[in-house]
Amino acid sequence: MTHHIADSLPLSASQHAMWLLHTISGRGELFNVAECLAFQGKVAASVLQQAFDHVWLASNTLSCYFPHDDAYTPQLQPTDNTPAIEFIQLDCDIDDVAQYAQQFMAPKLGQSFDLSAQPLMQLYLLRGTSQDYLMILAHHLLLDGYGFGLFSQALNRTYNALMKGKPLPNLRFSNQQTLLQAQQETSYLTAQAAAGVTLNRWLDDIDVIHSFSDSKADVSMANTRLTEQFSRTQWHTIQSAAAQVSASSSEVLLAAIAASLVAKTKHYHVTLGLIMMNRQSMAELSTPCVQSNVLPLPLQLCENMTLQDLTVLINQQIRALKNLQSYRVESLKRDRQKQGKSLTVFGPTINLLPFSSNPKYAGVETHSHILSAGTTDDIMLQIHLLGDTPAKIDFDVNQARYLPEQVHTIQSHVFFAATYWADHPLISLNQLIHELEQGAHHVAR
Amino acid sequence: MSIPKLSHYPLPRTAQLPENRVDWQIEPERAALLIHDMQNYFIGFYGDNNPLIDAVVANIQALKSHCYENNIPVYYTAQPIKQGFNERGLLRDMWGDGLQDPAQQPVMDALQPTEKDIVLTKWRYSAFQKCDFETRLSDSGRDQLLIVGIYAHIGVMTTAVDAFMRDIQPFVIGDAVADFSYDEHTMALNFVAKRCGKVINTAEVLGSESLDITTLEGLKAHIIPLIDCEPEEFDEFESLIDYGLDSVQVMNLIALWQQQGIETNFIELAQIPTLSAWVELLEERKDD
Repeated sequence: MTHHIADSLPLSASQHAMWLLHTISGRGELFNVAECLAFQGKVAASVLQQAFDHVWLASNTLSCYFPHDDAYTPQLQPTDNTPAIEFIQLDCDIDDVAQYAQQFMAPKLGQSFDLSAQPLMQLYLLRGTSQDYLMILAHHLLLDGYGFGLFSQALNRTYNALMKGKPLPNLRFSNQQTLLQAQQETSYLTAQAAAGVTLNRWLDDIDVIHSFSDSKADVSMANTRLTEQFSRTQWHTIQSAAAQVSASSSEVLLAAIAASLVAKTKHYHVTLGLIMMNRQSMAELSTPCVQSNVLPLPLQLCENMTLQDLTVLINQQIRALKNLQSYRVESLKRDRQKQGKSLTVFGPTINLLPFSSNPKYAGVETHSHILSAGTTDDIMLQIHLLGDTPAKIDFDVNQARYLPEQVHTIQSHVFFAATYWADHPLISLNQLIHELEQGAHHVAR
Repeated sequence: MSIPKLSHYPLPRTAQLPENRVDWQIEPERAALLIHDMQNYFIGFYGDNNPLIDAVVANIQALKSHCYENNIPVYYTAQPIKQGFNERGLLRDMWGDGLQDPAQQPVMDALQPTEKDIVLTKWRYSAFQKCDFETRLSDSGRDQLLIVGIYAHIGVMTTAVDAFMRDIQPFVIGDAVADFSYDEHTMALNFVAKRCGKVINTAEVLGSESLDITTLEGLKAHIIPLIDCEPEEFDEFESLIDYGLDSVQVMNLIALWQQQGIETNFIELAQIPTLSAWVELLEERKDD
């Protein structure tokens, strides 16, 4: 049973947006996120629980729930209740961790949290004969990708301290009050308002926004996922091409996605949705919460662009977008609605995930598997950037809008565009599109 | 049966080179440079405007100039065209007939031998086989061999092994050789470093310093071009996020530090986002 331990607090704009999505959609389970941490050995279960308790209580943005009043105004209600890790004994170790974890978590991912009455995180420690597996389920209202990273790192740090007999570490998380204060500063609000004006102007310059599908079918259907990883040789070529054109590997991938979209739609004005971290101040960087935002990244392409031309454009646009990231996408959509304009403010959503780390738990190595990083009503490409290890892309789609064979085609086009353009960085966008249309991607796979 | 079409990949940075078992030092009066098989035929498999080959050629040119300045003799190997059945031997079973077109036989234009250089005819993987290379080196008092060219895991590596077995110290220049793939390139360098020679980069031969991105100055020099800031205006105590450094650029740095055995992650760096704090963290991690 929860009990009142402090005054309730208002929500940040990001939290409020997520609360509204959950409440209005009636499909709260769509906003569940999950990760599996596979230990390459055994962990001390009671120490893990102790570590979790410490992390959970280190910020009221974690140890809270979100009740609302009769007028449907949500509040953040701090609580000192800590969820108990559920321990589950297995008969043996798991062979295919990613697949097993997906199956194990599927029913849990399919259940909605009760935002007003329960902690928004559940942990399960699956105990194999020689390995353990920690499954973490949370609501997106509690944590985004960066917030998940903050949480995971703190859990690791606390566990290791306890195992060494050291005192509990000071985690230095910020709390809800500090976060709200930072976001109420005049400079923050001024920049946010200016960002809204700029983003609306950007959208005014675009006729129609296209995605890989024209369907407007049910936006609350479940997502399906196709995952593909570049081979080492492909990735080395992409890295080499990136160095040659003075870009990052992720910019080459964004160029490939944009080119694939042009090939599909024949429109050279591409507007991707880019998930932004939206954390600038120390308060935002040290608060385990949801803060991310998704904003339009308009790219005006032309036929003769080379890989370098396009990566330079992408770099410039992302730099410009960084200054606008505090303006919420929900506010942008509201602006468009008020002006009688389309509510579609971007095409395919791109999520660059650089948060991967495989920390050791008292010497035991770990591998993390992101099972769900949120939902999409259209298509979202989650790009796992793993340093020198080849990048992996999850193609998450709303199954009401995309058939499995369509997703395979999109995946093969994006991979072909990335590897072919990296291999031939001097060819133009139109030459690349010609190769795509010739069906060369079938050979590339 | 022929060589496959080849792509490009990043050349290994100094921090990525394998640890050497030997601490031989290059002495100009003992050294010779071998530019291995940089013929149009072998280069052709990489296609035109290949950035890997462009980078390797630039490094070989710099090394060759350095050798000229230090009176280090320069040797080339080049395979002949239309080798007879017995001349080609088992290479035919492995690679087919090999070089047939006379236009493909010369060394590529950018590395054309001069009258000062010696071009050896290449018959087998090792440059020492079926030729007087060892005698030439011995006669000129050379017992150190700097090897550059293609392909790292075939002729370059085999020549290094052969040199070692003849008591000639082989130095393979890791960023002046190219291969079929990064993995084969790395395999060749690892083998040489662990079993028969020393692996170094061009900068070390030339005596130029490479950037140490774990120090304040090195990291500053690396980061400033990535952000919108003039060097004189940069403050190491200001937030790098405010300067516009993004998560992907941070990930690239993490990968570079990882190659030097320093483990960090994005989240911990984001919580202390100043250059000064990062250098402090790197110093701590170096001691771990």
